[in-house]
Amino acid sequence: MNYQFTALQIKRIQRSSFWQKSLVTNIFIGLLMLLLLFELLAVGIFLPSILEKSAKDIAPEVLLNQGLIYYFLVTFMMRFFIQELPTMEVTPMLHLPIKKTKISSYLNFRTLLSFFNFLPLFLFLPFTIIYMGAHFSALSAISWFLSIYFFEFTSNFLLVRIKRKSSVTPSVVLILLSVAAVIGILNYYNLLPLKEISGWYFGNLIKQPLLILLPLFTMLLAYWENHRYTVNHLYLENLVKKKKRSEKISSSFSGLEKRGKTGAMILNEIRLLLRNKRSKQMLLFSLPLSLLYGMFFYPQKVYMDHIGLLVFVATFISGGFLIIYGQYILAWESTQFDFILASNIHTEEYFKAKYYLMTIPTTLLFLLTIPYVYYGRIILELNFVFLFYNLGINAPLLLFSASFNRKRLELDKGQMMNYQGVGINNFLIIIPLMGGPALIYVLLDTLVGKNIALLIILGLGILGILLHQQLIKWAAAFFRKRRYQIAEGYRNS
Amino acid sequence: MIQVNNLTKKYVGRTVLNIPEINIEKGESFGLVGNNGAGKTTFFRLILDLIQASGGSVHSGGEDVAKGEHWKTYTGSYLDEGFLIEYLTPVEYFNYVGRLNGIHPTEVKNFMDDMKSFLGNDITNNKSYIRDLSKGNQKKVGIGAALMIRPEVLILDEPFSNLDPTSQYQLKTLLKEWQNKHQMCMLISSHDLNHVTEVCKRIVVLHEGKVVHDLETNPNTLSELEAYFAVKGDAVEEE
Repeated sequence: MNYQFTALQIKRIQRSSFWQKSLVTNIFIGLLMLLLLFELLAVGIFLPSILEKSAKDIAPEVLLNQGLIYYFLVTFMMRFFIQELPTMEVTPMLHLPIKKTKISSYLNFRTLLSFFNFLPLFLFLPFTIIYMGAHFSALSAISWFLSIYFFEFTSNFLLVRIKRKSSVTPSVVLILLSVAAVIGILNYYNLLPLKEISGWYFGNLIKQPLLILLPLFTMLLAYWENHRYTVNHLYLENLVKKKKRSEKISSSFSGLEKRGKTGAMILNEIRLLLRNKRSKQMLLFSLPLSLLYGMFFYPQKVYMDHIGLLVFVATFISGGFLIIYGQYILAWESTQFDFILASNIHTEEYFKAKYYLMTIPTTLLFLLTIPYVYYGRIILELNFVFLFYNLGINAPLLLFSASFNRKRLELDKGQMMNYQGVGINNFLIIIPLMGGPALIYVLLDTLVGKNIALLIILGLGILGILLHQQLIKWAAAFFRKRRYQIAEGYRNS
Repeated sequence: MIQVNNLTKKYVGRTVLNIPEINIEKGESFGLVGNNGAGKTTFFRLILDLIQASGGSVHSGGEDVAKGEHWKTYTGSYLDEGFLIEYLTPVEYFNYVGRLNGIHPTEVKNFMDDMKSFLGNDITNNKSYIRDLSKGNQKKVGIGAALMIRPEVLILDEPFSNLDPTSQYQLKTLLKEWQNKHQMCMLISSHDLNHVTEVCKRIVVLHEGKVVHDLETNPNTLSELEAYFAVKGDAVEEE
């Protein structure tokens, strides 16, 4: 039976149009993954010497044992945002003569295929073989490694259980973050000595392998609880979730509706962004990310001396939303694209609404980042110049590139690690969007110096803004030429 | 109102639609029938410029639909869920369509009140998003919005399927009434021969992308059509 479920899943993936149509994208993503795993493996292999160097008077395994608990906590947080529940289409199975326990155990075992469950293989297996094997008995080394896995699986099932009950909503994120903060504070004031607990447990485990029973027990408990829950909830009404309508935020924009057709289109798009899972997560991550981006760079002297790098930051700080949202500027509406084509919407009006949808939030983001002037006037100057570049050059560029994107975007799935609807174009467009301005600046800087270079870039941006009507017209005309192919792509998911 | 000239549509070499000429006049009610794969939806999509013709053209009000966009101002259509905006509530959807066509929200409200008995409670109480409505209710929203813009050309694909019996009856009356009152050029496709002969004065039968019958509806039309499709069924069985 498990074999058949697996076969069905493989067919589902192979025959999904995403797999069949975007071979290049898949190869690209695969290569990225491979690179990441390769780097992790390198970390794993050099872990003993890294640990030896970082603290001279503590043995590597003691140091690692103390750190393991943080590893579990951090990966749990990451799992929370990234790991999706397996989406085997259970509905067509329910009426067939298959035992519910079978379906349930398959569903739960499949969660083990998550990326995170493979991490210890790369990070800790080399350490186990190279270091633990050499310094302790084989039994100790094996039970040490296995106990890490049992903890990892406990974390996996715990997360799955939480996610079955609730999804990633702002309130859940808030609860999680506050729990993490409380643990952090308790740990800081030594009320909850995580480091010592972790070090004590794993240290004793090496001496007494029987202690492995603890994570084994928690893992079985977490699994059993999941199993119990899924068996009891394998009903149609639980699988097809009908969400309650929440009309709070978007109604505060309803004044837009009175601002004619363009206003109505903008309001509609705001509703789209706020009422679909994928777009909501996009907002949840892209807005804070682009605002806080400066915090990674500005406090460090090393970066402050490289204006070329600061240009990069400046482009992203006001353009984060523009770049992430703008890449799919048409695809967000792919499920209702026939409506847009057949309705009384002139293509130019449509593109004008899209232009405002990119430029207004971009300007707001710039205003919010003005306080970064604290780190120096140059920051404000750069952000100002590249705001105009984003508005004048990058926004129209995205309107043009929109016509190359022909993949339907499913909005009911999460955004993290979700490559549905993502094409190779979406990776390629990043290069001119982010790299373009930095390259232009560096070139101009060597030719005419910093100040004139910035003035020229500002001029380019202003020129783009002045000509935006004409640019929109061209982008619309370009779209009109390719509209059949785009609509065709959006129709076939 | 709608002129079709040498219209063809090919998919990888296979011709799925080939209509040398059809004219549909203002005020005409035009019913399109045919088995699955006959090319009904393809034909409607070509009229709405949603797919590219391999050859020939469709003119609406004298304008080539593939070149101009003016025809969109007087054309109401509902083919499938792609015409709905699933994350809006029904009222928001009607308002949005109203905005796009310059219809004031109070007029939208009046229209929805007039249509209340057809739309039904699930739609008018506005409690759920369109994506959470049943198929039948989704269809009603789409048809309602298409009618609301007072279209000169109305195009509906399978409007009766998925509707409950009462709604089917109401829709028939509604379409006949509107067509008389507003002199719409109305194009409907249907698998239900009963309904389509009752609503439409002209019936066109498509088979494998070609027009095989083009008849004025008279008391015998229904039995003629039934006979035609019964023979088609037998022919398939013999093959």
